[in-house]
Amino acid sequence: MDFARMVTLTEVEIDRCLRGDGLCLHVGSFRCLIRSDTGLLATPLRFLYQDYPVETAISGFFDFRLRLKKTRKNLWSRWQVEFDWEGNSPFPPLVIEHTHPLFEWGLNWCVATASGMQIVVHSAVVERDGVAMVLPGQPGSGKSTLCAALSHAGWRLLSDELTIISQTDGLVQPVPRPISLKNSSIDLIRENSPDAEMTPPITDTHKGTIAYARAPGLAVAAGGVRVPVGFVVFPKFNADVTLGYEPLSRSTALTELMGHTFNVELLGQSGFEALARSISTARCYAVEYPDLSCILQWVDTICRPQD
Amino acid sequence: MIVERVGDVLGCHFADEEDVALFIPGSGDVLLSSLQQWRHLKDGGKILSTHSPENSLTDSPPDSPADSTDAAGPGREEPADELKSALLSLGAALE
Repeated sequence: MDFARMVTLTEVEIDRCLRGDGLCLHVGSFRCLIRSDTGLLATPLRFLYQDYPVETAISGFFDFRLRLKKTRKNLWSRWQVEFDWEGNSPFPPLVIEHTHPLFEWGLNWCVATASGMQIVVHSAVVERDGVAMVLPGQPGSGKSTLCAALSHAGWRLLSDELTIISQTDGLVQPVPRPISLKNSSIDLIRENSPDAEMTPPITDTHKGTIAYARAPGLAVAAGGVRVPVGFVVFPKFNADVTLGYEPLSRSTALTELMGHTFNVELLGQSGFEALARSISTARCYAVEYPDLSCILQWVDTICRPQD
Repeated sequence: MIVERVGDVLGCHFADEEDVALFIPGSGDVLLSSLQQWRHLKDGGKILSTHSPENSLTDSPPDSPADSTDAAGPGREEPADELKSALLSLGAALE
């Protein structure tokens, strides 16, 4: 079925939907119903999700029914925003100016939760030449920054946050979403990837200043194209080193990946075996890098299909 | 790729690699082991010295020169012992 793209709606129309019966947004294979009365979601949604399919006539099944609701403790308190997914939220209310980041964090949580029957790895993931490169990393490792740079350097964005691997066939399910950039990464991507389109910075979040880079249109259009894992790369940013890397055994990579996986202990033996199978032909590396240009050059040289 | 089980511990070994990824489904713990240690554990939990002639029955790599000068005395904890201890400390059942 063909759907309208977000960009065909005006901000006023989007806001009217959000305040009314909701706006249905298609993200990868997920169908999300979004409602909000804050008046602060239409602008970033229209900008960041301009290429995504939307529906304004609300009917049928939704993977998520999300609501970002204006709230305050009493008449003298500042307005806040509350995230709700059918009565559930892992987040405390935030200042109302953080409506949009709360939506993005909430949607991440929904996608991770709703993908519980798949393997969900906390990791960025991109694709080139028909294979995925999985980029797990601790906060501060630079994975989102690297993901943003790669997605503007010939790689297709699959996700900057969650790698969803099918237990059945080991293929990575794309969930292309805006890329969250924090603090100094914002200027870094502006300089390095001038074609990246970003929201204005949002200050004073619990992650510092953040801005979101729009997912490239081609990545959104190919949101249904699943691919096998070709590379697992553990990046680590360190401004004080020269680039160094080490090939890892797949056993080592599997052990490390398990530490970045949200739900494999819930999936048990079948999840472990499925994750192992999914990387059984992958090449795995740990790489420490001092700047984006070094790591992009390394990726371009090393992460190529072998003859 | 081969996945084998010892008690409730799963070991995943990829072709041409010298290590094994271990997983305890009950606790969600993971561990990296050498293939040699895993094989020793798998062989009925027997704790074999790295100097044992039985080594020759496995595909283990030859002992390093440094190892060959070590005395495997009665108080010395062997690598397979270490793996067993680590797994037991994680609450794994090995029987």
